[in-house]
Amino acid sequence: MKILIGTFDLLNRLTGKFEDAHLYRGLDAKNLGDFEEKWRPLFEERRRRARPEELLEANLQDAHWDWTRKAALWGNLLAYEAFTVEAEALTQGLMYVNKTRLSRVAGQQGAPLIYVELLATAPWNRHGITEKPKYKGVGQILTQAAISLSIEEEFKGRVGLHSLPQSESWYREVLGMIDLGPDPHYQNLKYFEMTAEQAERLIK
Amino acid sequence: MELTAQTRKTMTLNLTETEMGTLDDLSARKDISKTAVLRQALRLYQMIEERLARGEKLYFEQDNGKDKAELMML
Repeated sequence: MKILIGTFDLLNRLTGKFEDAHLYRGLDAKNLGDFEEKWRPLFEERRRRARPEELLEANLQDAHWDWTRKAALWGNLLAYEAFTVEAEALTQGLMYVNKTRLSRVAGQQGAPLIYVELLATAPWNRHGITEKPKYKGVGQILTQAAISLSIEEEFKGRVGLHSLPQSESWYREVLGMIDLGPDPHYQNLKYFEMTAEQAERLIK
Repeated sequence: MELTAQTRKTMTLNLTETEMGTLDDLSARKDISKTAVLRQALRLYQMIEERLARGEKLYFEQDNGKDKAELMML
């Protein structure tokens, strides 16, 4: 089931104007269809064109995520929830969160939080994949949704995630999340957390 | 950002004093309401059940990485 949460502004970089984007709670066959038919071919095409030394810059580190499989695996579990952003009748962003994880930050260790399992923006919105990325702000809308969910669940805005290298600076510098360093149990990806205080500041 | 509230149903729960004490304790320790504790418990229970049904096993491991015990679910 997919429920419309609201309409938010997305900056169209190509026109310099803001456009309506719809944020949904849940994902459906349309979103998975967009992933299979619109996203995946672009990822594969970019991968074919990329030289090995270009792979990092090609912004393809999540291209292997199989959203269709994840939806089949997590779709019926209470622990997981999906969010989607749509604009121009296309899926612009996808996110899966887990509601059963606990904080690792000293002072709030063991407190429940929203853990972002997967978060991705459409390939046409990314530097490295296209020369002129279209929409800016998809990740921000989805991150805000994670914080809002955390508040709704009484987790006070606490959010945790493992970041792909391409997104580390955004989580650390733009959102101000705490960088807890590489996690040896998770492909050495850096683990980030937003505390209740940080979430409150960000919402204000 | 306000998320759309999902429809909720109310139920009465009959617990022993010990069970209620445990619920109170978890609620205080996790700083969430008793309803939120029960929602978390339900999510975890369902997830564990699903994974066990797929043939996976659930273990607890000591910090030293040596002592490992399988948790048996009924």
